[in-house]
Amino acid sequence: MIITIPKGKLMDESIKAFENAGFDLSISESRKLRIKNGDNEIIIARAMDVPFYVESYADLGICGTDVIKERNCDVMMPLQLKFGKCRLSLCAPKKYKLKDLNGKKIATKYPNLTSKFFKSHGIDVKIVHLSGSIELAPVMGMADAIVDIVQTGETIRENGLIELKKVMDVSAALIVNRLSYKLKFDEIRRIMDNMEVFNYEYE
Amino acid sequence: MMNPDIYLYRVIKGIRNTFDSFGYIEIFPEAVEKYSRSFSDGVPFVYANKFYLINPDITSRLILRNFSENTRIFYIYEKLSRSLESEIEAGLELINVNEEKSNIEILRILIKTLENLGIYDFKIDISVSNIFSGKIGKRNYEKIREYIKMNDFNAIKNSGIKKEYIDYVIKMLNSRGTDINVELLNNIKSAVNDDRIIIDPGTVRYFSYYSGLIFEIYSDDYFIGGGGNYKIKNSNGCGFSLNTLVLSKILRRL
Repeated sequence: MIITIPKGKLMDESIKAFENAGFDLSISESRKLRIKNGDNEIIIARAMDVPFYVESYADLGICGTDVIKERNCDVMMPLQLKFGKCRLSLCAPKKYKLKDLNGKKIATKYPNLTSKFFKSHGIDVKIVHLSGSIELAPVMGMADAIVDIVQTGETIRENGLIELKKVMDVSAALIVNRLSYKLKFDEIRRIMDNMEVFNYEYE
Repeated sequence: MMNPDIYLYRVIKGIRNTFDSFGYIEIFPEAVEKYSRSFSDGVPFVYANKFYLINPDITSRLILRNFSENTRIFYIYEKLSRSLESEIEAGLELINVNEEKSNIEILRILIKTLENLGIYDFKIDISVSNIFSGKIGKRNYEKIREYIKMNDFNAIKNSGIKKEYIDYVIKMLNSRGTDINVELLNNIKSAVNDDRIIIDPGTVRYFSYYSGLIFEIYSDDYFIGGGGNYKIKNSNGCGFSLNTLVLSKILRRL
């Protein structure tokens, strides 16, 4: 199996999930991004890139449902996991209501989801695509509001923003290459069953 | 594609010979069509204030035309995606023949075409286009179509449709390779009698014109193509298309 593990916040729990599904990942402290381990190959990728690897090369991977929807890759998502829970939200200074944002600038790491969200509300906005520290954009006057991941809400409050509307609930999910899902159906079903047990025991 | 590629040449020559040997006649579709909402795919452009499409999907064009009984045609043409990526597609269509007979003939030709190219290691997953909508209703199906495509069981479970429908969809998605009670598929499988044909209700075809049998073909590393049955005027057609570049990559490795 070729497995893609996301770097960052989801990495440790993703390794645990695969180990509970019967894989010996043995990822050491080395900086290698591609590790051969017996019949398995492990790729460590940026969370945002995991769907691309799974769509075109790997059999399996774990990443957030936000990333899967944003990237819109042709992959299967047969199992949502119980870690990595948070929400993607529209956050703005207190003076704004949703309809006030017509014609305004919205900073985000998620241009596709943001555009879809505002279109569904009939609001026309200009999207500013940033890759990190999104909360800074309104503070610096680069944008009027943001669409970003919210966990406890502390960071947005510290930057003078409030959570105006939830765009989507987010959790980690197992994603599978469409062809692998056919060719390795029984094996992937077994992995999913084991991960369901991991899910059950998670909380 | 401007450089000589012996494998691509062998694929196209082999496909043409096989289709020809079954009595199919080659057609040469126009590269440009006046824009129509009925056409799938194709690259849109404007010329002299009129809208056109470059190389829209062939089957969606055939559906609008009249054909005589037992029309057997094939085509080999360059397909362009909206991002202007190009691939050479080879397709075959059997029009105005009894649906059951045409399904079987098409699948047999498909298998023979790949075998004549020296490709034996492939699978053909078959299903029917309304396997979900026929049971749960079109409206419910539209609501969860994207989730079915991704096998997103969690979203299906939380979709708000009736529990018996949810159970049916999940059961079907989990029943790949097992016997399911769909007469059309069971009949096709026993008539074609080839172990490489697998019943998989999760089979996905992206064009909306399919009605009845749908199938996709793949090898160990690649999706090779797909096809199915469709309504054409008052009759029906059945056909498939193959990605010749993918086939040439497989030949290169054999």
